[in-house]
Amino acid sequence: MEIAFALFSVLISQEPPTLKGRALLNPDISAIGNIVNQTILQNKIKNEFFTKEFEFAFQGYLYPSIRADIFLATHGPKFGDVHEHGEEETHIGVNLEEAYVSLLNIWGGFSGKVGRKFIEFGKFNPLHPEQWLYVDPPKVIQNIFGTENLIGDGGQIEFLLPLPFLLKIQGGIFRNSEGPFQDIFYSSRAFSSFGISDFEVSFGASYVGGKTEKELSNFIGGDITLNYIKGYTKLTFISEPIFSIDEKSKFAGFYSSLFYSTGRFQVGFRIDGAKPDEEIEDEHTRNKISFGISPIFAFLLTETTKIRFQYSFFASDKPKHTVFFQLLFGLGPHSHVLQF
Amino acid sequence: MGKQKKIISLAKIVLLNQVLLFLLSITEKSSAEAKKIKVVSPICTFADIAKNIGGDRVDVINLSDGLNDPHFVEPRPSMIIHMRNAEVVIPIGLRLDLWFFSLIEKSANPKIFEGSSGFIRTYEGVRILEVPEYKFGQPRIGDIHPEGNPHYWLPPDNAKAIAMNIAKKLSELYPEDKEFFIKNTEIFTKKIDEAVEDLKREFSRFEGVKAVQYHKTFTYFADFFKIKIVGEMEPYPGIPPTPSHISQLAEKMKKEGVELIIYEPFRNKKDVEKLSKITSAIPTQIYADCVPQINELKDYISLIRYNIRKIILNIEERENNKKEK
Ligand SMILES: [Zn+2]
Repeated sequence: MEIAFALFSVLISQEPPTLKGRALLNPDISAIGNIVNQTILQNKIKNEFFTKEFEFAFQGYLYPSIRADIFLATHGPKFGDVHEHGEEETHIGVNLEEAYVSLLNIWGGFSGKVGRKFIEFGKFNPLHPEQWLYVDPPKVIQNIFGTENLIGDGGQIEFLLPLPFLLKIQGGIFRNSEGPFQDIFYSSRAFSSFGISDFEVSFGASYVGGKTEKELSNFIGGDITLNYIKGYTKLTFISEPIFSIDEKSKFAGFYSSLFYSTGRFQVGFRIDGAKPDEEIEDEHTRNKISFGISPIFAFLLTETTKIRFQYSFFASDKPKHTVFFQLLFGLGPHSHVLQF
Repeated sequence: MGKQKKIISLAKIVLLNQVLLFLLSITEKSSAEAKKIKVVSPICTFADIAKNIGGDRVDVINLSDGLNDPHFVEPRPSMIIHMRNAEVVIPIGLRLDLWFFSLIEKSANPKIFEGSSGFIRTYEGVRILEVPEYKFGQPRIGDIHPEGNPHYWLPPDNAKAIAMNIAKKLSELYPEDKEFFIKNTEIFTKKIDEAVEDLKREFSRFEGVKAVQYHKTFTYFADFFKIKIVGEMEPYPGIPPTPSHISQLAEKMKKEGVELIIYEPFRNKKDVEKLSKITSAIPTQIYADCVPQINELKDYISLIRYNIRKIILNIEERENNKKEK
């Protein structure tokens, strides 16, 4: 963070070239509300109504090739936790989710980001909750990172290779306060995408690793995205398997989802493969992958108001049923992410 | 065992060589094609204008057309590569094509960043309508037109201004071809003028016709051809029609004698048909951008010709229906 603020002050002190129609340090301000009702049936029924988060985004240019993005969010409860009565944590605090400066061009195809960021590991982790296709995060993400998004303070360098197709590679060094890593950790990613008429196929491979409580811990993830886009009709398939590599590589889990959207509504499902929550003594059973399925339906009320229903079933020793109802609404330029 | 390992490592080296050779061959190919000026456009109309001005000196890539809402085009990752290779971009601006700007940002190509030499401020010299005046304490509703109405490219006078802006920028960047660009601009302007003269003549009998539009897409176009826009089906830009707004609008339409409801192909047809039933105004689907794969809409001039003739056809149909009754 110190680096980011140092950069800020250096940039502000310089005389920038004129930016017609866009005032310097006059950021776009947006707000997004994410309200959820969650009913969990696992042994007994538990119903909760909570504000998952209110997010405030401040986005703008510091210079024609430098932009800043700041996301503040109120902290809601974590998904899937069955709180006993009176046990709920009532956080009203505001969190700095992301605050980073993007250097859109450093030199010859190199760009970078400095500050606090959602780590660009795979397809899901860099996204904010309002951009998710689901109400809750895939189980494998929660399992391996212990949080809904792996966040770090640091920086990354990105390089767009001079090829006739898109191939981007990047690497970063971060430090985090919550999540699996104790101190410094490293991340890297390669991403490629091809457009063939109405189809878009993207591939990614990501790595994140650092020291955890126990020892060195490394994760490798693959992701494939298939999009068919024709006018307002869109078909999206995403699959992301993740492996944890300690002494030997182990399959940590995956999620796959398929969605069909057209103008006002979106329908689809997600399949989860992950380790269950229960505390199990026996190591073999503990590491067994269980499966879940979640049908999801979303409807756009206005261009920036969306409701979503999700039913999730997760099979394990204690099968878990969850029904979600979500209301998302936005104000300001960032709220266009609420579109399908 | 040892032999096998050797063979495998040899095979690896050969494979690596092949990959490197392949990569080299494609980078060479792309540098051979680099002689043409690469232009990336968010809409078909700008692409058509750029082709008219740049002729065989430009290689124009167009990212959307009249079948899509230019506000909400899905920015596909593979489009980033067009941006990385671009010398010139011609964005719409005024916050309409945020998706196009997000692609520019991801290109790591400083030539096309806002304020750089390859970034054309397309609407320079165009009079922007409906620029909102924000007052403290007043809510900003309809945030998708925060800097005024961004659908400025349809009327011929604005198309000519856009052509001038593109010609000016290309001449600055490639002074050796300045005369070529100027000559092409003159030819293109003349072509527009000729087409408009015909259209104006054909339409003269219908000037002053009253219409309602779905979104504020055709405000500039209607201004130019003297079509009186009485209102919009959207209560605010980007907010879908609500029952109360539609019933108010229907009253107004009946009172004012509105003859047409104009809308683009991607709007909700059922909403339009419902309003048409209450008011007897004729649903008239026209286009806000050209569509390369449809012959009668293939370029800018075809587009405005199609729109005007479609409007004439529908008014005449309405007149005939009235006579029959
Ligand atoms: Zn608009």
